[in-house]
Amino acid sequence: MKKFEIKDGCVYFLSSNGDFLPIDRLNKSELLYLVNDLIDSDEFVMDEFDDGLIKNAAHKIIYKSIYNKFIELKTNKKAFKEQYNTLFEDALNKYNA
Amino acid sequence: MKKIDFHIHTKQTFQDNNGFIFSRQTLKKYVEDRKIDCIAITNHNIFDLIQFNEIRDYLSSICVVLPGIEINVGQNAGHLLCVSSFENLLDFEAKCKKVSAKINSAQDSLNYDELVSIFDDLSKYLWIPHSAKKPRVDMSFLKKMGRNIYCGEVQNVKDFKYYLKDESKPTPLLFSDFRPHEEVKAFPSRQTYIDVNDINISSLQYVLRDKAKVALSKNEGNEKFEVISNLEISTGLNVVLGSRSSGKTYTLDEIYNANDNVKYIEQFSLLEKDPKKADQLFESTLSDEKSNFQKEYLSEFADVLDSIKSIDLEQNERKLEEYLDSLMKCAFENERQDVFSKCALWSEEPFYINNLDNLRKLIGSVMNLLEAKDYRDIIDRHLSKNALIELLSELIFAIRKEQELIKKKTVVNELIQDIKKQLNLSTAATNIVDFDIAKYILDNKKVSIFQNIALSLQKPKTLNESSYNRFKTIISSGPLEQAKDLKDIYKKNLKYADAIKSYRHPYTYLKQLKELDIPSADYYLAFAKISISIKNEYDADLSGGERAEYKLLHEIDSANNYDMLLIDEPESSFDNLFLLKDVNSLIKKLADKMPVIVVTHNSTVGMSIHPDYLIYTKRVIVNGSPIYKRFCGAPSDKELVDISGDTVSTYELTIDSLEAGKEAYLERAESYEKIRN
Repeated sequence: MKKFEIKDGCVYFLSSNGDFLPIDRLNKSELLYLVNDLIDSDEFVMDEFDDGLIKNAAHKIIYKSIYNKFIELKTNKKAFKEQYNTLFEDALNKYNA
Repeated sequence: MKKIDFHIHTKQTFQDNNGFIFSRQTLKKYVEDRKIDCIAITNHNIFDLIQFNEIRDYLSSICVVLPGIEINVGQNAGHLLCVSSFENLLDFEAKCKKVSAKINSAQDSLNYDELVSIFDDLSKYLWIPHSAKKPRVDMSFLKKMGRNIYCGEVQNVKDFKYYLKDESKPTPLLFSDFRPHEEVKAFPSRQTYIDVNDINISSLQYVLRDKAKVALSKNEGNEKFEVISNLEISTGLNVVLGSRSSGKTYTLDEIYNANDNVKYIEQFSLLEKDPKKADQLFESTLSDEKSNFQKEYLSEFADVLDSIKSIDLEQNERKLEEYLDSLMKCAFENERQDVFSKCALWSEEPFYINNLDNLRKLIGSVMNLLEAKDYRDIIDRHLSKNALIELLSELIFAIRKEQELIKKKTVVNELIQDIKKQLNLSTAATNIVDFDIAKYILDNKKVSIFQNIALSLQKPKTLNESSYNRFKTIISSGPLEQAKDLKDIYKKNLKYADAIKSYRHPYTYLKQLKELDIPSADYYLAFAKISISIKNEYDADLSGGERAEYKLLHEIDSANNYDMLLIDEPESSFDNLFLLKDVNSLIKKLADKMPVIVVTHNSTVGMSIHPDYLIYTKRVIVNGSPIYKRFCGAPSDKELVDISGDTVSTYELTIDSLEAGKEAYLERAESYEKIRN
């Protein structure tokens, strides 16, 4: 599902209630929702950051940061998940053996 | 009785910290001097057949030499002596080579299966593990050895006697662990007597199963032992009597050098004439006791201090002002809002990140319950293992979920911070300063709790009262009152005057302390004055003599951690010898556990202690040169005897040594009458 879309020089994100909203309306809980989606689902699609296509200066700033961070997370998804999925693994294995 | 020493090193190995060069002459002297009948050569994890045969030939007319090896075994690389017969030397050599191949460092060791695969039939050898001696052989290894283990090596006379009494302990053996090299000054006195006629492995194996067949002395069982060559003394209380220059100190020094772990209380005099100096001396004796107590008593307070010392309330207030200012400004400058400052993220606060410490502790506790070996049955009675495992699993999943949320929120926080920074560069609007309200409230709370605690510390109170014989130690605390009190605590010459002024306002006081050149870890000492005082049974301060007694009592008490106690002329510290009653009873209690030797030139002191054994030193001139004689015996004996057979009557020696004066003599007349008869 496409989560970030560039259209008419602005960037839009898919909000938790299903609407596409301009990225300047993105607050921290929506951002957390998107991070969750990125990590936990296998279908996270976003338009590539294109300096020329985005005209709104504020959108440009916001999307640049988010896009770079999300790409990084996508490539390191496994390592990210291991930070919490392997906590106390030895203990679990020992007692459930 | 045959005297044996089965723990002797003749080769330097990597397990020897200091190198040594073996000297067979020293070994010969040792065996002759200590009159040993049989030794075993037991080097760490190696056996040198060529050297063994040389030594055996060299000592052939003097004592029996058996082959052996000291092996690292079991979990702790504990030491196990193995002694073999001299029949199958080549076979023993081959087996020991296999041991050497496996052991290349102090941490390497053989497990039980490896030992059996090398030595095959364990019952052909004599096995002696380090028992009350480090490094010990672990219990599970010993259990596997089964019937092959019936004796154990101990380190001192004290443990030897203890093992004899305790049925659960194996037969004790005391050996020297000697490394004979050229510069040896004193020979060790650790050997064991065994009631056996022929020395061979099977007779030894038979005899060593019986505790009644081992002893510390030739004829007197375990009531006596050989402390140095040619001197057997009681394993209990001994008194060395003799006038000045009769060789008492020389004897004491010899004993001190030949034995390990000996507590030597030398003569001291606390009868300092200058009262100020006397005070200081006594204070320093007490200061250790005080500071140990202080550290423990104030440790929680020290933790509190630690957590608030970085709190700066003034700075917090300033930050609050900044925050409110920026908030107001932002609200009033509504028209200055532009496309950047209107972004939702621009005014976003970061997510609060949970602390998972408590959950971690909880998981740790459940794991402790699952893994506990002590009190296992009590735990199992109330909590089923399955329930615990389910609890653990659920908690672990919970912490994983929490951690997942934390990690994701952290990602968002980092993004917010980054985006805000960049938007700020472009916007004309005023930024609202980040302000952590939770921290502000928490800091204020912490400081107010700290103030309460600090103020209650200032109230005078008694912290601890403990009795020690007829002395009472009282530790109390109270407020500091002047700059001098701070100087007494920190010893340095600093400007304490300003700090002490704010003593009654703890937070301000702390700030002042921070200005001084004191390590922050020591701030906690400045909040209360801890003092220690010792009173006697009449609740009065101690006189000079009582202080000496107190100090002596403490010295003697600390001897509990040693293997032998030597006390040199205790009467030199006391005005009134009859104060020695408490000292005497403490000495007697100690003599139950370890050999105690009290040296005195005052027979009143010597006799009032009721020793088990007397040693009388006397200097005689024979053909122009001085000879030092030592006459020994029980106080009840009519005569004391020295090694050449000369005797001295017990009555005579007590009169000779008398230096206390006639009155004291008359008071003791009754006891002397008994001796004379």
